[in-house]
Amino acid sequence: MSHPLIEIENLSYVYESQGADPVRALDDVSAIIDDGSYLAIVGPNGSGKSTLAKCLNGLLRPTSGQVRVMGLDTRDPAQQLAIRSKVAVAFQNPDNQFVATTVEEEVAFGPENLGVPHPELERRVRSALVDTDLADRGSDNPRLLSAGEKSRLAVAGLLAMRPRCLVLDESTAMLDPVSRARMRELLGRLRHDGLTIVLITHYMDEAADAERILVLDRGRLVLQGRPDEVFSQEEHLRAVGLTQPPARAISSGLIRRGLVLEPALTADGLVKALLVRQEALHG
Amino acid sequence: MAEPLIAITALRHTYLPGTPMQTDALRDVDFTLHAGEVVALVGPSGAGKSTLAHHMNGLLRPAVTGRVRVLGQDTASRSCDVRALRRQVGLVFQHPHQQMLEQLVGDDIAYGPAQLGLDGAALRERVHEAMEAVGLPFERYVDRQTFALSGGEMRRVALAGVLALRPRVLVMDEATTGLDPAGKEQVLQVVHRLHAERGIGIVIISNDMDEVAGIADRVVVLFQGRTVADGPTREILGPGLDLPAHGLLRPTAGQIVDRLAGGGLPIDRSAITLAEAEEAVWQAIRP
Repeated sequence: MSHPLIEIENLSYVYESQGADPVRALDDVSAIIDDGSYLAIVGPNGSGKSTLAKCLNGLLRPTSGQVRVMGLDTRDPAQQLAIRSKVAVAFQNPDNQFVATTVEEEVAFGPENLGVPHPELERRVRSALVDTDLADRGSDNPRLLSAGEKSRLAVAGLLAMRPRCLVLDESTAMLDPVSRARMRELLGRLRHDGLTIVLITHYMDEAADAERILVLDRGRLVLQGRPDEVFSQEEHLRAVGLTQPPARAISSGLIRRGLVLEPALTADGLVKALLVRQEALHG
Repeated sequence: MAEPLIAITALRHTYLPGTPMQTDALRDVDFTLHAGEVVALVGPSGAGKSTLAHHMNGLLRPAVTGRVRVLGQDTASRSCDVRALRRQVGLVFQHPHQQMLEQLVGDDIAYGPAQLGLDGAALRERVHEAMEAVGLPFERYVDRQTFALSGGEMRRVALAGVLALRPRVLVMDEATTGLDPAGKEQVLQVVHRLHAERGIGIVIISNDMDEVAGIADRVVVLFQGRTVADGPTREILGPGLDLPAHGLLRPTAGQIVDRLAGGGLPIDRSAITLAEAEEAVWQAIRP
């Protein structure tokens, strides 16, 4: 049975700045993120995705409404530490986040601050580096890593804090194709291990990996559901400037030509469906 | 044939030479851009793409090895007019907010041409033209605050600021990264139009192989500071070249047909766009 890890209730967030009109970045958003689930958040630039990410672990506190993490209200300053140790957020430019001179120290930084004692600290650092394929880079300077390694290092640092939920705010946007594919594999493994994942992305094929998708537009939650439900709303998605995942575009085209096929959402799904079909026809 | 807009041969670039931090960003790079071409520059991170881009308008100049000729000028030469180069070769970067100089959109776009001595009606006309070219309606945007723009709008303001200088070459370094699909499409359409209507030579640096497949005439692959492949888009992104050996992947369409072929389906593997992949699958399995 699924139970909620994060409850978002009528969340609004308004940025106030001197001499300019206030900007309502989030407007009455309600959603539930189940423990152990994989959620993608998509939406055009300026739709409020990053603001929502920052609300999930209390980096930003709601202007109105509530966010609760395992029942803890993010507006309560006394719960800040508990909430941040449960929900970890990785941003787009990991360079800005690195503080240490070696990869190992960088990963140890977070849990050390949480007061994790020594043998346990080393265990965590090692397993986080293994999980993110950085085991052989432990003594290197973070600045010498490639962009793909840097974003995996940012994830390793968060994993070492043993959060319940990992939020990735466009962490794949700057990556080259191979690094992006590796990050996607990593997320697949972490999800398999039971970690809750919230992925903010402009790549629709990545969003299709998730169990559920939230679509934001101008601060409002305009659509949510399983990827097959969300991507079947073609008109609605186009209206907010989003596209279909590539595999779905191909399968829709084939279906229009008269092929009997379930619309596939990912390349994996499409390849499998076509090969199974071929097998059945030609044995 | 006329001299290329950009001709780079055997270029080497070393950062922090003579220090323990010395790194060769470029080891042996050849690159050309002809008039009217759209060339994509691809390669895994760290391959040297941005360093090469900085050589295209004289922000960096060859120190020891290699020759860089841009619009007929040798950038290493003492007589090279670097100011003129920077005007004629516009660079658009991945972080547009680093390129924003003014608080208002119109002032920001006017900054470059004002430096060139344009003012009054001529300046206003130039800003108007650049904004229309990138699809930002003049009246609606000219007095908007730059910090309050969305990512896609900011990217187009940065592009307009470069276009206001009427460059002959446009170098876009990851200029669509982080944009939503519609924003990306808008920027690419602008590029397409600039190319078609004004014949501007365009260099696109991108990690998005699907985007490259859709827009480039030719693709140059950098790997570990070397040019390892250079050819028509279809040839470079097709099944013939081992892109993974250079730290890259084929476009999504190519990956899908490759995997179908690997799974035993007799299928044409040349697809680089989604429409071509759909056609190839249809031909392979049609009843």
